[in-house]
Amino acid sequence: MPKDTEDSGARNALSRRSLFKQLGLASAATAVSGTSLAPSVAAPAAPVAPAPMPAGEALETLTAAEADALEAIVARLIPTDENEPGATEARAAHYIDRALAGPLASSRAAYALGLAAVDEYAQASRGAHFSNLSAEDQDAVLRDIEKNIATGFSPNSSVFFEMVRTHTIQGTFCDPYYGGNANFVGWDLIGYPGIRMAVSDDEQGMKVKPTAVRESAYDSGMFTIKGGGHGH
Amino acid sequence: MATNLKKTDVVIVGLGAVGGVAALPLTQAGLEVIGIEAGNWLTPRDFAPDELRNNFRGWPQSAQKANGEVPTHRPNAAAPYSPRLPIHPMMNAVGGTSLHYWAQSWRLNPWDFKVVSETSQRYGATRIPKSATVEDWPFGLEELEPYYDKVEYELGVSGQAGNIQGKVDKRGNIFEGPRLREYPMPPLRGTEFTELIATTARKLGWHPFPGPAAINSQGFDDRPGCMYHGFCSRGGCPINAKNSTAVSTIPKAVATGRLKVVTLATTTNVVVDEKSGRITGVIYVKGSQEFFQPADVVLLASYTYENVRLLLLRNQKCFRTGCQTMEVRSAGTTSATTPLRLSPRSFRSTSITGTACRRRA
Repeated sequence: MPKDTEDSGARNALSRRSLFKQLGLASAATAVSGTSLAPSVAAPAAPVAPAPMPAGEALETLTAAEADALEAIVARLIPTDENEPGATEARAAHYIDRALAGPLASSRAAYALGLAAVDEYAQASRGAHFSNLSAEDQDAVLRDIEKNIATGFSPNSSVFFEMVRTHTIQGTFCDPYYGGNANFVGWDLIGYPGIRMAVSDDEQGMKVKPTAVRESAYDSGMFTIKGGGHGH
Repeated sequence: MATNLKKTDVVIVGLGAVGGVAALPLTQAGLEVIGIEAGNWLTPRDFAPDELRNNFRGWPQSAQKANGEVPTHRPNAAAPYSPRLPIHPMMNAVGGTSLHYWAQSWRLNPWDFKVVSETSQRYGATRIPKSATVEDWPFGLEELEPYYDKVEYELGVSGQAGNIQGKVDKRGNIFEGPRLREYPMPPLRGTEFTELIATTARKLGWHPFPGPAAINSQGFDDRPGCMYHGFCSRGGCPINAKNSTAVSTIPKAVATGRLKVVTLATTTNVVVDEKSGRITGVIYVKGSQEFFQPADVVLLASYTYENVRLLLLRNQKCFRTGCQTMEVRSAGTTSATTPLRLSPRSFRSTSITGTACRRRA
């Protein structure tokens, strides 16, 4: 996670606070359900049993500079505020980095070209790399990119904007298995309780606030690689 | 060089919503049927409630054949083609798109069979554009009703009848044509929200009713009722409560001992005898091997794109001798049921895009 700008420092503080908040709730749920709620890629600060994984996350496809720019972009697309976490805490950029090695591999070149163009346009129009700009200047640059005013993009900037926006949404609200929606912050944000294999009549009431179960589809053994035999 | 296989009575290209249903009456009638399917068998463990994988990544555990082949389109030859959607919801597996459809199971209304005459009568003949290919059907709902009834009971459909043999029931669709009997299962559970909408609609003088769905509202055919987990839209059912052909008609056809399912096999051509102009079978590719499967009847049930593609392939002889009508009818079905051009109601009949090519007697 890049920590080289003033406001990303503030974001990280918020991030840690909200993560602890979420983990407190998650631990309670763990005690009840008896299943592990830790997603496959745990947050670095997770106060759970020592994870058999390295503390850091590799950049699987992006360069460090590309990752800095992308982290800063997703942080403005679904921003963190004093009440709620955003794409930063959901680890949307990490989701994108991983997906570009697999299902989104066909977008890898577009990210390389687009992220370079973002920095060039930020430099030309605002005098600094995108990740070093203030939040206001970042928003102004992103608006130019969205409205296709920004230059230097191929085929144009709004196509790039739409792609990053789509993937940021995926990385914020996907099943945590994929490396985004870390600690279910995306689902908590919109009041989605997590995967429930059965939903009762009462739970579908309009004024009912669903109880957060914070379950991934892959917390139960039914859909995972280990487990029973095939039906056919 | 294609390997010649033993002749069969019927070969079905594509075991999805159409081919998977057709296999049952054919095998029940004693015919030997071979179903050629580009995808593979999937099981409940493949149907994780995972929106990213199912809705945005196009089911990577299926063949994903359609995703690489979706045609582009353009309004005329000079225009640039429109980029296709990155994911096409067509599923390549045994059961096809019925594995992840919403399972809405509408019948056509009596009006749908007489679109031209009814529209002309109500709004004037000028409302049908001269260039439109739309036509009245040569028969009415009453001719199809016994078949709708059979499919609903073999597949399993939940719903509220609105007209049983002329007796109208206001709890159901009062505009539907007469049906022989109730749906095999009562409608699916409503919610506080759907009740609110229905109550409001009734106050406006409308006639809301629960839509028919091929989803079990209670146990049916040894499969359980729906648990309402909510991942039906482009998701498969992990408890087999959604009635795809893969869990209903296809297993029943396999149980007759007369349906052979050939998976991971792509049909590449319909073979026509040059002298007689008769269809003699199909060529399919499995792995790196090519096979010729001779058959008396070839049923193309591989969705409009693939049906039309197969019929347009170097089979000019075929077009001259009977297939032309079929090809045009298939293409006509497409245009007549495009939701953009007609009422959404017409979209229902897109599930009926199978095309029969029978050799001439």
